Amino acid sequence: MPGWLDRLGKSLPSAVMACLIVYCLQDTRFDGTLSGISGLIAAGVTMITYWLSKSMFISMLTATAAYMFLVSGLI
Amino acid sequence: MNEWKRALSLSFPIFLSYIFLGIAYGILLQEAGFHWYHALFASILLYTGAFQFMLTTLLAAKASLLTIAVSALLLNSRQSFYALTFVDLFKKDKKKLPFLIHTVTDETYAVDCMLKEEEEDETLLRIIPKVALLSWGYWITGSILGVILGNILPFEMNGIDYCMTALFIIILLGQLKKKENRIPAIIGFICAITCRLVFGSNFMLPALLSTSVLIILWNVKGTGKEVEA
Repeated sequence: MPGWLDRLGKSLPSAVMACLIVYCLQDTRFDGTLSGISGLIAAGVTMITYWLSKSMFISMLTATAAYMFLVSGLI
Repeated sequence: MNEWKRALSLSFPIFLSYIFLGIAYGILLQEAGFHWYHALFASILLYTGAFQFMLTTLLAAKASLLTIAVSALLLNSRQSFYALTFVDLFKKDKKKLPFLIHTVTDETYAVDCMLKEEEEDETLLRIIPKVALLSWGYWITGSILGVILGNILPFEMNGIDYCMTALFIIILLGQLKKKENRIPAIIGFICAITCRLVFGSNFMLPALLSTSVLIILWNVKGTGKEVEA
């Protein structure tokens, strides 16, 4: 494989993750409602809980629970 | 056996996401008048989440085969980019290649990228196909459950698929510890947000194309030399 293609292959994982995150959060709306930014809030929860716990599972489950709560219409 | 356990735990976020997304897909199929065996064949043969949803709408609207083929190509060709990361690895086991090509998804690619940082090639070649097979199974199971159980499912699982978003974020956080991953991630974010604004919701292909072009240019400029190591 030519060098430029090999380097692209090595750089792509983090670039693709960035694209996928944008894809997942694309419905974010800054219209003043909590549900509009629930994806971003849960992203914050993901980062904070991952930083505190260093555990993928704890972070993932907390963030998902937070997100489900935010979009549930209970608040 | 240990490897199956590893694959099960690695694919747990995919399990949550695919089972519930599969159920949602099954419900859509059922409402459009399809049966469980349609779900079975579609999920085995097509195995492409977003396109299967789209196909149900296209079929209901009696779209032409050409329209369906072009939509499938546009929606899924982004995954050819994923091959670049694993081409050297999979060359070592060409027999598994057709299976791995068929079963690659955004989610398994993410998990495989994470695993690649931690494991040797030999282990990767044994665990990656197991993750792929399990994920395929979750999706097939979910879609059949959706058709059969349909709307009698008593629980609302709105937002459960956020577990994949969280997983992508956690994987990216891990990747960002390496300096050489930071510029590609920034390029990815900028391209994705720009393409979302320009192209609307089906922006992944243009986003990955522009990201790749910019990464190649960045590498050519020489600032990305350390990536070679």
